[in-house]
Amino acid sequence: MLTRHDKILAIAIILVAILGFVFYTSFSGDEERQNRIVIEAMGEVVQVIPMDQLEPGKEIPITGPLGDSILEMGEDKVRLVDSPCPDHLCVYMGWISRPGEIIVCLPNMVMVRVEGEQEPERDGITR
Amino acid sequence: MSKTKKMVQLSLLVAVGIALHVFEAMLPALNVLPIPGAKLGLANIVTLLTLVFLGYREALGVVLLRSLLASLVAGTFLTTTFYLSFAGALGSGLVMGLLYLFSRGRFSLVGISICGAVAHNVSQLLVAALLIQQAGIFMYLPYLLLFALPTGYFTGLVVRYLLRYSSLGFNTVDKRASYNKSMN
Repeated sequence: MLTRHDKILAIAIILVAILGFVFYTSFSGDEERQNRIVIEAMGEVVQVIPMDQLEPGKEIPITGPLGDSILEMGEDKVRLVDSPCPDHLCVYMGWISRPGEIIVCLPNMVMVRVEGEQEPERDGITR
Repeated sequence: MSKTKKMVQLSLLVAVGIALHVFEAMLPALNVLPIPGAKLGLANIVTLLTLVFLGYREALGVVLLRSLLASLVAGTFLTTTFYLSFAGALGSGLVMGLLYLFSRGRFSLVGISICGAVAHNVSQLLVAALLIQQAGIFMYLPYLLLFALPTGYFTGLVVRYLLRYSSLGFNTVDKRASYNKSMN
């Protein structure tokens, strides 16, 4: 059946896997995991807000070429409530909260996105 | 062995490999697991058989052709899936071939198969890391490694029993093959 080297190999693989788990769990602190809101206007990052520092109900203006887009903070989520753009697509986008989600207002050149280490939920898997 | 005969044998092996590859892609059971990318590696059986029957270069050729053609059948040619699959095939083919040539019987076919499964995962993750420009994906490796162990074991066993009960019409020129046979 299995040779001696086979067994050593199997044990080595299990050890490496366990070491990998340990390494990963011990080296990923809370700060890295913390999601944050990144606000960009005219191509530049104007503000980064960690998720836990959001003040629900507070509104902040983001200045773009057309005027101020108004960002509203919620419980671990943000949205644009007003914008000087003609079509208001950014407002209709609604709340965003998960890493990878993004609100873009092209006319006013404003971009709000959620960044984080946490894996975004999968829409689907093909193989 | 005549050239024609060898060509036919290679074609048959590639065909069986494609069939297994596509069949495996249709298996629903593994999609239930929370580990995308983990799979049985049924097509690996063919790679190992080629290695035993025909040799290192042929095995590498069969595994690369299989990956290429199976992607055409599955409709994933030149997509991310294809690159990942191709990298996995190349990595596992190389590692299994080298081990088979140079391990001098220290590893049984099961051990070689497990190494192939691990190499498959590692090379896939390497390419995935290159594609998404993030090395963080390697945190995924431990899960895949734990999964590679039983699947590699399984495919190795399949090959072992295949060899024990049938030479499948191949006259093996390779002495190591008969060695492996007697050892099993």
